[in-house]
Amino acid sequence: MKNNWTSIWYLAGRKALSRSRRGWWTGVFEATIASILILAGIVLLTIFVTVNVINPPPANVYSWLLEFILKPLIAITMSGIGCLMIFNAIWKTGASEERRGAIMSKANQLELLNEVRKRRGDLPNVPSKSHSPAKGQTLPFRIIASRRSLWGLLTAGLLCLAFVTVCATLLITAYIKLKMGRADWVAGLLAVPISFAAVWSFYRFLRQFLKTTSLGPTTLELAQFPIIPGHQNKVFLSQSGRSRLKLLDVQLVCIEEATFNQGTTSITQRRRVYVSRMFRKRGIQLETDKPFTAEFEFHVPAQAMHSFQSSSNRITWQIEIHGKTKGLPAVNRIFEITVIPVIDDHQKQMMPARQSR
Amino acid sequence: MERNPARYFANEVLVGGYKINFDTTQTVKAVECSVIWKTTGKGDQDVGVHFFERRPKSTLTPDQLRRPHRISTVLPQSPLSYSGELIQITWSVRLRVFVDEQQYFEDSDFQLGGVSIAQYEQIEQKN
Repeated sequence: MKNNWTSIWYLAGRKALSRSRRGWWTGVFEATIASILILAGIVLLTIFVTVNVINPPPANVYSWLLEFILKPLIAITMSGIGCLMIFNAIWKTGASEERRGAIMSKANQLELLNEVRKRRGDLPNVPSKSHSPAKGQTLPFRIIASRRSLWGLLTAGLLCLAFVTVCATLLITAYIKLKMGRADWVAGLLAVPISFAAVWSFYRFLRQFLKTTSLGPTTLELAQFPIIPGHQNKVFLSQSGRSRLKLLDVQLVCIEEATFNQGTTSITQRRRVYVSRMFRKRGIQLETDKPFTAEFEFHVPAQAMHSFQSSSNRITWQIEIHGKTKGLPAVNRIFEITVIPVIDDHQKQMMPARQSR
Repeated sequence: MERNPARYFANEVLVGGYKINFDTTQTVKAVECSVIWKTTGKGDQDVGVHFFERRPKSTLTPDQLRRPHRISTVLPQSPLSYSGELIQITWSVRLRVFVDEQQYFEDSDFQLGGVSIAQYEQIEQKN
């Protein structure tokens, strides 16, 4: 599907920026505008609230409406628009066009997928509810990307929000009291380290935002799901975006994850016990209306361990996609897959024995 | 267990038996036999019970205890026995005997499935 913005750009016959830089600048621009709106909204709201708390209430109704309703509403609206911009960017990045359509129409409940879910129900301790695939466009199963980076973005955003709010409150309090002739040294001194923390958290948030949204949606589809060790499987990869990728690397990884209690803290240790490169390409030019696509094959080793999950231990198989773009933090997308135990012919013969019991 | 070495595959029937020789001055209150898997390694231990049988005191006469008692169960498809770097999964037949105020247990390990150790092949990550 053609993007209107791109079409207009080409019709105008202008090429002010190269394609790769344009993608970079669009991401930075969106992130900056959204962040400025959110921060300005928070700072303004903090100012209005602080001023209203310190000053006596206004004498007439109009002033009261202006101070207590209109001004805070403007500040909240600004933050809301910023949040919507970020949500929109994440939504576009985190879900492909087909998936967004499928979610909207709730059309991904297919017999094929129900069969997969039913089959995995017979396998104790093999994760069955997570990593459920959706219907693919090119190959039957589309794997859903892990939400880990979105949680990272949310955490960074909340941290930034907290620091900026505290910093703004301290600065405004110090300023107002100074203006009133009563210098508040405690608020002023506290504002210094908090300001540094606010700037640092804002940087972290911006970086995480760019990391999450700088690359367009990644679609990963498989011919077979769940994965059976030793069986060759076909993969379809589609990467959209508006930048130039220095490197695109796809790996099959097995991770052991053990959680243990040490004193009062719970520690999780992870170890990559298997890494195999599936695909690698340098210098990929991504275009808005023409995503990069590749098809390749892979297999999980025949005697490999299946996916496993218990309360404190986990064995996870995942396809990791690493993308490197010039001037932007490296992007990592993770697609967890389910590997089931092999049932060979000898074992199949034994299956009726179970039913007879 | 009937096999030596004790190696089974998913959906196979595990057949085994046990008998208990004990001092007649003691009272066996109950005997529990279970087929379990347990994790060992870096993480906290998880235990899953696949088969469980408890013989209460009323069914345990000294004669009955000395006679072999058979158990059998169809083994599940997962989790398979595994020996990784952080996680090991072991299958066992566990016999727990409650004698007076004490209890004793013994595990007989067996292997389920044919999963090899974790390191299959590993490539260097070159950027």
